[in-house]
Amino acid sequence: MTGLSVTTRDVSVRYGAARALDGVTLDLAPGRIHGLLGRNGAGKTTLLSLLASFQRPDSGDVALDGRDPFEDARLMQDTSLMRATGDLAADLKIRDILRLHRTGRAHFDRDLADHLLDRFDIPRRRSLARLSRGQQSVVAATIGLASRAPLTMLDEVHLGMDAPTRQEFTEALLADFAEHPRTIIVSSHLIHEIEHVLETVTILHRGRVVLSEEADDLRTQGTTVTGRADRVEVMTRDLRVVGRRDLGPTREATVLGRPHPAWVTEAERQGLQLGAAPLQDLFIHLTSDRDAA
Amino acid sequence: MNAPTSPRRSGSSGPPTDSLTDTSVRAGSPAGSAPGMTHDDTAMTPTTAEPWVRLTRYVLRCMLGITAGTVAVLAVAWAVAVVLASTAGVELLAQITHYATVSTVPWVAFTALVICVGVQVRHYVHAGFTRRAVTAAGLLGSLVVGVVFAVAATALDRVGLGLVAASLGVELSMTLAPWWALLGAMLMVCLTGAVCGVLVGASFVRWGGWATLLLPLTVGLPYFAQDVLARSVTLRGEGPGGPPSWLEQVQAALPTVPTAALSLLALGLTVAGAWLILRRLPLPPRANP
Repeated sequence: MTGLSVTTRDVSVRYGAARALDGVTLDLAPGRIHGLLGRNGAGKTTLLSLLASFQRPDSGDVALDGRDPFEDARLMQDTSLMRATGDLAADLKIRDILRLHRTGRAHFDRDLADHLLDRFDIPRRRSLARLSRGQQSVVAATIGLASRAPLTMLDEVHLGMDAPTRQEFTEALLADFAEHPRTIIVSSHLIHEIEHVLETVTILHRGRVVLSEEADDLRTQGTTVTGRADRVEVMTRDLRVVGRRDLGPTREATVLGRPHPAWVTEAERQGLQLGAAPLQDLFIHLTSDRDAA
Repeated sequence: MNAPTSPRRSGSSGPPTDSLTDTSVRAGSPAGSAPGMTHDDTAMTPTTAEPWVRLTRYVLRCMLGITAGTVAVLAVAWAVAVVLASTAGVELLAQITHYATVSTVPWVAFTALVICVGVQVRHYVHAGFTRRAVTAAGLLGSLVVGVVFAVAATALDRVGLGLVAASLGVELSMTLAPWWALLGAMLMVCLTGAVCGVLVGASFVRWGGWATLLLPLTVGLPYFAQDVLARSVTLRGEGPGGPPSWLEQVQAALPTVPTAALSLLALGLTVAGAWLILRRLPLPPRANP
């Protein structure tokens, strides 16, 4: 077993009149990559900040490996929450920020940090505030990976990065996880870019857990139907379509549920291709339905 | 219908993902580990100094830079004062020195602790330190800064002043307090200045701009108590370097011993205040810009 397990029981947090988390109960197994998805203001960052001991819940219990992490020296050292900006000292030079995190993290890998920062030409003598938005995100993501914390949380850490940089960091995340398995929680709005790395998916909406299950199981809750637009339209006429994409004459529709075998046979006879549903379509559907409710 | 397949299993992810594929097969249970990896391989804390020791070192290193800069500024100011003293008389130098030691040096200690501890609480917790470690580092840092600054200020006041007077071939007409009394007073005032730095910084992290309203409590009262003590010790005597009339009245009303006891109480309350604010300090997330 690697990494830290995460358990929350009936956790609630309020900011004034606003309820950020409302009775969140969650179990995340150690040594896996978990996705935490939710729309803006869903409570993702608040939940992660509880795990990182930035604050305590108003009610309910939070446990890492069965223990309350708040002011637990070992658990706090072994838990890293990295966001694009906001938590790193903006007026410090990059080398000083690295030094602070090397001081605080027992497993910090200086070589990995140097490698990633060199790869993206991040100047060490410049303060964080003087870097571009994307470069600041690179610094945050680098520290998050290099910390090698048994519970590593990356919260929208891709903000501001260009597409190639995002892809390289996702690859670096996978490679480092393969060599140093630990519990990783990734929160991002760029669902289509990270869904292939996620092993479980938890969706928060309005401070509540909408679902928490295996990513593969979630994908089987929907099916993509791809082919000529008119044929796709006819075949999905009586199904619940939650997403559509057109590319010239080709259309890809995401439908909910498992189609009847006879329907599958007919769709294949029509030359349509069936596949796994993109998480993003399911995510939009699940959170939109809750809105309507 | 073909069973929907995970994009991850399709091999589109690029980097070595074999281990990920393995873990996804065992969905619902903890992931398989890389050979030889156990929980302890990643979660075990390597043998190293306690977090509060590491953070104290970091804080002291941070303050070293500020102190070095301060010493450089003071050296220039001292040189200017000596030049002035050579023309206007050594009493002017004595007044400048008193101002520098009693009024300025403690504020440098205050500023150093605000910069290196008070406003950095969020960043230290973010880097994995407990609030206890931050408090310990802040108080130990205050102690070191207090002692170093007090010794430096006393040396400046007594040794430096004496040397300058001797080099100018003049005698000080004012009566100076003994060095140990000055050292004790400076220790109290520098310690309080440093701890006030932790307290004020933490209160701004806790309450934001509203902490401004608390400044009379968080820095005003403790500082006033120490200032009265320091001046009552260092400015006793006659001549142009003597105490102002209001302080003479305070000194008459509060002899040195009760003043020292009050200043100790003020220091204790400042330490307690810093601990109370820091020990459960909530650090709610800031919005991503």
